[in-house]
Amino acid sequence: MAFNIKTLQQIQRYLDGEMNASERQTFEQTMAVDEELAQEVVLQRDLEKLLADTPENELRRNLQILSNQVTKPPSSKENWKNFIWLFPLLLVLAIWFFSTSKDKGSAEISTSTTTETLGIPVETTEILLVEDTLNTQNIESKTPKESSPTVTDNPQNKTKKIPQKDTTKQYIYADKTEKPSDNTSIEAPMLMAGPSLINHDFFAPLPFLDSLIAQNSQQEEFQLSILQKLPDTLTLEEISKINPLFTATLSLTQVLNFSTSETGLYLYPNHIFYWKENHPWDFTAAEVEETAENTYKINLMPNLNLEPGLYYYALRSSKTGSLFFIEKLVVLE
Amino acid sequence: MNTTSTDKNTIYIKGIVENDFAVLQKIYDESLPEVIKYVKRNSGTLDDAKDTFQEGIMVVFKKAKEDRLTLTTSFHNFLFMVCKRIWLKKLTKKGKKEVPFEEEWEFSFEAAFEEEFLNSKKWTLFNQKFQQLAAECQKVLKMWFNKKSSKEIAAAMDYTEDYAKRKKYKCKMGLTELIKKDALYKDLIAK
Repeated sequence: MAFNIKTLQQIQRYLDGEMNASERQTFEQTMAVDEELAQEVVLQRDLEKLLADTPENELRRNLQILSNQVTKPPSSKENWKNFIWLFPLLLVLAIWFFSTSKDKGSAEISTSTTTETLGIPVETTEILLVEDTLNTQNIESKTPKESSPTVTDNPQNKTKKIPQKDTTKQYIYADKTEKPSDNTSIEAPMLMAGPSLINHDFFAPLPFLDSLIAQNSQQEEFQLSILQKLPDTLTLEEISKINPLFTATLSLTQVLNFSTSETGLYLYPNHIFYWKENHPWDFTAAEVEETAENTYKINLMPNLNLEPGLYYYALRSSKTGSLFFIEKLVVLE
Repeated sequence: MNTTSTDKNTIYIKGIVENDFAVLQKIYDESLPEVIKYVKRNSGTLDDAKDTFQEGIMVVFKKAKEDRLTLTTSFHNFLFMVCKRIWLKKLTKKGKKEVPFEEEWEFSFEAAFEEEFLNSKKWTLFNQKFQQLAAECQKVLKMWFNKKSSKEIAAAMDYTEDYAKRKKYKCKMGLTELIKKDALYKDLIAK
């Protein structure tokens, strides 16, 4: 049986139980001999089952987020230990180097290595996190932090390459993002995702995203005119009354890789993982449509079922992470 | 087993059933390292371990929803056992290992492994293709999959009901074609 919209409609009627007994029997008989049709029925059934917002699929989504955070084995401390033998060796090398050629560079090698060994202090966590987010998301901002100095980044290190540095870097945000104290850290920052949210400060701003808001007007590649701006603070009731919540037009002054299917206005709860994983509150909340060449209209619809808290909304490409605009919104009870 | 670990088991299982991100995070922190170690020791990669772990939690979710799950050991041990059996099953499929018989193991679980293995692969593929659809189609299909009628879709999208009906099939057709073109789909139906 050739697959077309007619077949699709027929399969749908079968799956929805809308066929009468004789129709059903004929359909099942065809299925028994037509393997392709049988596969198609399974696919259509699975699509509905796996793409609906069921508790099962929501769980899968969260597990995916958690798995994506683990880029290195969580036992990174052990990996660390695997290389510990390197340090005495390097020290010996350094001393030997120092004693043979009284070159001042040799002393630096040993000191910088020590800095690196101890270079996992908690203070570096945030810097590395921001840096990494910028790298992975490829945000198109005029002032990238590419050259932001990090604690571990010591130019003298270049002579001796030690694998630990990368390990730390990747692991650090696989670990907890913020570390108030060791015991609470497991519970504190992560509590925002599921429906049961304990302890989390829903209104705490994210400095990283705040700094991106400040860069909104610095873009030259495009112009964004906001037709209907959202107030900074809204109550749940007010939100339900505004439709659409936010409207803007975007005109590209330079040719950018812009596609309406990949770009959308997304709304994120105030946790860096939602941003990093591009996991918005509601994937289907906003739409972007092309109104003229290089001009796009953006609408954020209501019905978001928000809960009180701080949100960031951003016009962003789901594929490249390119950022066009970001703003924040406080939702009150 | 003392009361505290029974309480802890309840918290973990409830956390999975209710999709509580904080509890899930804790489960990842506490139990994933051991699974990674095990899988890596047994000719697997980090990704294999993560997949296995996700499937393990999904199996627990389904079992806990079907009937009350009473554990005779700590949650951590139990989850490790599930993941271990899942990984052994996968190795057997690759012809690398025999799955040993284990005492005190609820073998009725194993039927769920195969299903979850396929489902998680399909879920990833479907979502990946779904993201490639135009925003409008994503919206229409999401409503449809969530059992909204054509009338409701039409109202939300400002379509006529007739157009909504045609649009949803057109979008689903597009999604179906994207999926069928992928080599991974051919792999999945071959299984």
